[in-house]
Formats: sequence, C-alpha cells, structure tokens
Amino acid sequence: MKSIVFSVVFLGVIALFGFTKIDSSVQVKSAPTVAITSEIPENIQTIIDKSCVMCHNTESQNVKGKTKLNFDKFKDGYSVPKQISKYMDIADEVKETKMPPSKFIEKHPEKKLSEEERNALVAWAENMAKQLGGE
Amino acid sequence: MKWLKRIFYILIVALIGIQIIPIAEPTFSSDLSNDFLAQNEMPSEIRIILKNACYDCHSLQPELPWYANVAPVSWLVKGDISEGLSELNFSEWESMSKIKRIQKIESCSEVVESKEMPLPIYATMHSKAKLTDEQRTKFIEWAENFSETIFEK
Repeated sequence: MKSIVFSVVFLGVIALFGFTKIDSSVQVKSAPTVAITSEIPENIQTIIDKSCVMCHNTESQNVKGKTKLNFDKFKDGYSVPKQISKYMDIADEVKETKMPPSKFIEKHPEKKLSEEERNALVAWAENMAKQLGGE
Repeated sequence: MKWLKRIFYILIVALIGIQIIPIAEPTFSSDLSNDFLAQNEMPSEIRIILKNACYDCHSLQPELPWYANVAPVSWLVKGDISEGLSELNFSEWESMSKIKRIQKIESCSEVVESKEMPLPIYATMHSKAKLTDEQRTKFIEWAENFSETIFEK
C-alpha cells in the first residue's frame, strides 16, 4: 500500500514539473507585441517588444513585473496621471540600468539593450511624460 | 562559566568599539518651505498616516528613537533613511516638477497597496506605523485623487 501511494505521489510530482515546463515555454513564445498608442515610433516599439514586453504584459507569469508595469494597460486601464507616472518610472529604471534586470539578461543575452537603445527609450519615455503632463 | 563571562566582556567591548565607526548621516533640516504636509491641504487621517508611517524615512524631519543612534542599529536605520530619501523626500515636495510629483504620489499609492511600504521591519518596531487595511484603502483613494488634482492644475 505504502509503495503504491509513494509511486502515485512521485508520478504526480513528475507530471506537475513536466506540465509547468511545457506551459512556461508556450508562454514565452506567445508573448504578444503591444502598441501603447498609435504614434509610438517604430524604433521604440522594436526595443519594447525585444526587451520589455515579455514580462510587462497581461499574460505574463511574472506577477510582480506586470503589476508594476503592464503595457497593455496604456490603452485603457491607466488614467492619464497613472500613464505619466509609468513613463517616468520607465525612464528612471532604464536610465539607472535597473531594467531590464541583469538576471533576465543573463538568461536572454539577445535582449540586452545597447547604449543607444537605452538612451532612445529613456528620451522617449521622458518626452511622453512631459507631453501628457503639459510641460 | 569562565569562558561565558569572557565572551560577554568581548561583546561589550565590541559594542562600544563599533560606536566610533563613522557612518554617512543624512542631513536633517527644519525648513518647511517645500514640505508636503506643511504646504498642502488633506484630511487629518491622511496627515496622520504620512507623519506616522512615512515621514521618518521620507522627510528631513524624522522622529527617531534613541537606539536609532546606537550602532549596529544605526547602520540599518540610517541606511534605510538614506535609501528612503533618495527615493522620495517629502521635505522637497514643492520644488519637484509637476510630472515628478505625479510620479511620486502614484508610487506612494502603489507601494502602500502592495504593502512594500511602510517597510515591514519598520512597522514591526513602530506600532504607530502599522497600517490597517482600512487605512491603506483610504490612503490609496486619497493618493489617486491627489494625483488627479496635481494633473489638472
């Protein structure tokens, strides 16, 4: 009896791990590309799709990441002041190289931002905040 | 028993010794000309929350207990205050740009909602800083409104 229970639990654990793995790989592949507004410049969109959206979208499994910033919410969800604060946060985090996180870049070296991309993203985010804030 | 006594003496000497290690102290100031609480209207319950749960680390007018000046506690306390001030300093609120103020008040609402703030270790040591769920809800509601007000000005 004991050995039966043991093997059932053992198989269950294996199945659980197996499914989790499959699930997460599917999630990564299907990370959607999203547009914040229609006027978002192409070069910025490319940067966001490459290095940010994987965690910062509604479907993301990174709960902390998507709670702090969800690009899907710029269209509807974030109030204008909230959008301003999010653009400011993006500018700060990217400028201080807190984002993308170094652990994430270790896993996905191809998503690393070049100095040029970093500057472009910061300038764009700061500009969006100023525009929305009427400054 | 002899060695226990010896360890005790060593600890006492070490505790006195570490008091002379210099630490980077934030410069406190009593200037209220740019202070958030001094320059803005808000309900008294919100004022109390800010003063009791935020101002010790996010302003230049902290109310520190005596042991906050004693190493090694002071290392942790002054470290947290410096970090807190670099993130948000309510004493220089009025000197910040409009969009910066919006960013900061929105962040306040978010970190109170996620319970990242007040820092759990701080709230454990200071019962005045423990926020009830009701206080959190009221604070978030107020912060969102305040943010709109700054935006519309």
